Amino acid sequence: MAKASLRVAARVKPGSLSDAEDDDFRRLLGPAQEGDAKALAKLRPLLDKAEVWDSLGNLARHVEEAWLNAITNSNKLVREGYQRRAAELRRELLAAGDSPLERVLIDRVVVTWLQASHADATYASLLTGDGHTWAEGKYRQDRQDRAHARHLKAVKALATVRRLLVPAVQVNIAKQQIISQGARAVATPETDG
Amino acid sequence: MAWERRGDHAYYYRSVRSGTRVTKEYIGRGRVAALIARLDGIEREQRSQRRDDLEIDRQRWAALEGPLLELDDVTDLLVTAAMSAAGYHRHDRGEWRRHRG
Repeated sequence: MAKASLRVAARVKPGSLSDAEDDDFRRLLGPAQEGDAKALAKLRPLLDKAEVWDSLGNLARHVEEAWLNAITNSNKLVREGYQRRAAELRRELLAAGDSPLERVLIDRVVVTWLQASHADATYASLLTGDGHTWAEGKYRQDRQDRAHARHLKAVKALATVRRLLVPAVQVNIAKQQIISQGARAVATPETDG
Repeated sequence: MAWERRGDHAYYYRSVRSGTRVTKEYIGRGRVAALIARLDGIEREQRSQRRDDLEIDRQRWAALEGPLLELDDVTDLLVTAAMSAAGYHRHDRGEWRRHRG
């Protein structure tokens, strides 16, 4: 948890907090990450003041770029393919009226998908290569497991936020099922049988 | 793996690990043993190269993963803050539940 607190503290925009606020921010991070309601209540205004949201958007873009470079290894055609798939995934997940939190969560789903894809590809190439040691196999498989677990966690967080924080209304009119989440409305044809 | 000299001849042995014990296995002498020793040397170099490659790969992955972990932690914190503000809590990283009352 201490490492996690340091990583969050690194996202604070320099100069955005006074020394006292910065001390409070760092002191409250650990308990808040553990779910301490009082610490969270005190931390919330500091999170806004520290402009963590802006820095998160930049971080997500940086992370996505870094993984794209790692996966495609300067092959422009492969890069194009992954970029398109990532954009498609983002488009599928985004909805009009998404909150900033949802947009950050979607960014996380996209980058964890890239990481999991890279872990899959490197493990597959190891398996189809000319033999490998037990240590290599275990390392790549563990890495793949962790990447998939992180991706699932990202998807679950997005689903939870949408289920619990965005009020949903469902109306069936004729064969059109209208699902409205807050200001958004998605129409899906009802399937027969 | 080693050569042992006795009299006019050199004898080639391999070290064989079985559990925590390491024993010596006699391979032979002369040109055949020299060839086997050379092949063992090549294999040893390849293993060492693979270990180095794996370590480089580990370091590259860790460098890539660092900012992703950062994104993960900050996002988790923001989710926790938003859920808590909406009246939810969770015990021991379990499912989110609405506060009673």
